[in-house]
Amino acid sequence: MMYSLTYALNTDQEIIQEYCSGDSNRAATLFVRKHQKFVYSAALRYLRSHDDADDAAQEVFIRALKNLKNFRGDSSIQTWLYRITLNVCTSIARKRKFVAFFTHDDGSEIELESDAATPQQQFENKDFEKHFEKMLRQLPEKQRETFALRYFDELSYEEISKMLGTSVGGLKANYFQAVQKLAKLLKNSEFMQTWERT
Amino acid sequence: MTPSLSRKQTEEMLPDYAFGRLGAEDSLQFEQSIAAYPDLSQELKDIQGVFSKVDTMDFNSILENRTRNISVRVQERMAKNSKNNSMSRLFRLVIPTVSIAALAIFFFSSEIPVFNSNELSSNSDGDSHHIQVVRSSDASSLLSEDLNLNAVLAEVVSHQNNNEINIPAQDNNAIDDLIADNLLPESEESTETVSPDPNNLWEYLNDNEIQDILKDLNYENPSVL
Repeated sequence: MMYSLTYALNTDQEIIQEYCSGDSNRAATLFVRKHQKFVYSAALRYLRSHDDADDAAQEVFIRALKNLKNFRGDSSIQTWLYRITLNVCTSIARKRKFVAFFTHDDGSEIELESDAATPQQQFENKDFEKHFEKMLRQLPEKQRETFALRYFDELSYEEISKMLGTSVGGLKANYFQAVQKLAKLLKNSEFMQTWERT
Repeated sequence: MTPSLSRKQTEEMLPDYAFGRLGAEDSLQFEQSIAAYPDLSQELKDIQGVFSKVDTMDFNSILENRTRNISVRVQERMAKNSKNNSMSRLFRLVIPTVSIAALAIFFFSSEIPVFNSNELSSNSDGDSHHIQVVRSSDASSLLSEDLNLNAVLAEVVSHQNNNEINIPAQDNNAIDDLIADNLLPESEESTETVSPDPNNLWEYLNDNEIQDILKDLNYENPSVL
């Protein structure tokens, strides 16, 4: 039933319409399911912690659903959600710094990868994702965001341009540089050597 | 052969070509141009080689697992928030409003002017009536002094109206005094004078006084009579 509903309401406009006039619970579920990976991954790139990203994603959708009736469609839903995500993440990061100050924590992000594990073990434990996240963090923010939004979320340059406020030409250059750097990092990583051996 | 794309344009198209996201026409144009830039051709091979491994990782399913219950948790939090909102509305609006209203009622009820009944009667000079505003703290003491007296008077008046007087004999004089002091008009003590009507002066004179006046008139002017 839900499967067919997902296809029945496949555009954002239809979901918004359903949310405003019909079964808001069902439409809200569809809305969250459609955009949860995009919001979660953007929050994860910003906060570098799965728990914080999870909290942030929930908060983003609560805010979005509260204001969904007022969404005018000046930008795409993803652009709108991305802006909310940045606001929520900024707020969470600020709180984290505040807590770190009073708990004498250094405020650094949670380490996603265990240095003790060998590449083989990491691979066996499906930790490549964490390793890749670590490499992504070595990129400048603009390049990292451009890469993630283009490579993982498959957004058009025009949409990314609206989200990041950068020209399309600048984004293309950022994307090339990001891919170039990641390729070098991956090629030199123990992960890649392990892969090649296997 | 001159490439149709500049080096910068070729670089910008390289990632999309490497990941198979260029259209057929753009792909053809890119393939024709990259031959002119051997270093970019090498770069393309490296990128394709490395990312072919990356593509084997199913990031989508990893994200799917991590975000599996977000929609449920969002709905739960929204339901919880709506409950909290109704409670916070109660705390933010209703309780302060009620408190302010209660304070206002208390303030105004304590500041209601109490009129001293003695001051309402005209003074002996007959100048004017005036109302004295008595503070609540003073009014309570004044009221307590008059409370017993007023209660007795109310009792008497009600019994008089009902013709059911059943007052002990020894109290009669005291009650009569109270009625005389407080209820009956002060006819004897009143300093107000009733001025006679100039058109009916004769009504206020007795016979002797009239005779005297007639005599005086006759002495002064005999032709009148």
